[in-house]
Amino acid sequence: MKNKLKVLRAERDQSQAILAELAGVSRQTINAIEKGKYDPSLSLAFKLAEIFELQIEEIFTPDDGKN
Amino acid sequence: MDKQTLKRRSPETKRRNTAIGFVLGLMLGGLVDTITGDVGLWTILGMVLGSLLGYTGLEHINWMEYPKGVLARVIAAWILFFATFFGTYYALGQETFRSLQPILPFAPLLPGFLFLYATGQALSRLDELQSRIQIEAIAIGFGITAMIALTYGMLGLTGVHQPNWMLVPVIMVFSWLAGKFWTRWKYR
Repeated sequence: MKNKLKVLRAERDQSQAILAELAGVSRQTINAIEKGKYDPSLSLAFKLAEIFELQIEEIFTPDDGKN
Repeated sequence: MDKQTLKRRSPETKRRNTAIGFVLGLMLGGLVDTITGDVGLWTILGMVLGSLLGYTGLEHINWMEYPKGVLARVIAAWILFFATFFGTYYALGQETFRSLQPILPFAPLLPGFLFLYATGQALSRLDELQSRIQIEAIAIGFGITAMIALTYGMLGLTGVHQPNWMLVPVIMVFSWLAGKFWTRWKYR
């Protein structure tokens, strides 16, 4: 799964630590999601969407050819 | 110097790393002592060298950030459990404690339960990726331990050596650590 977390965070001039605190997870978790190493749970994805005031599908998109 | 580097070199991090080094040294020293029969010598050396290594070297590793207090409780539970475990092992071989031999083997049970409780509490307070890393590490550790223990036991049947069951928990800990490093690398 691909995501725009890094871009959205940069647009808001937010650090990984701040986003992690808002989402209630560790900074490493945000880092792993941004790098595509880890796909978040549905509840964390909803939480991130709520933080950025976007729909989940505006942040997370399936990998090409996997949907 | 960036924020992360400053944090890695903070006194709090130094204390944590020293504690981690101490525990790893204790376990490695205990393993060597168990194999060689030099009860105490390698354990003390391991604790001293582990603490020094932790103080000087572990800051270069990008550690997971665990909730405050969680790591401290788990490390304290580890120290208590292994100290009781190896202490009991030592006492069982001493003439002085002969009268206590029927009950001594049960001594590590209570610290063992405390260790399990602390680990369970710690796991429940981790976020979803941290939990996943720990659970995968435990699964890898379990698999490696089972394979090594089975092979080791089979070697005992050949008469090459006398199996020492005390090695199993030590192998378990090091297999879990290997699993931890692997999963940390995977989600780095």
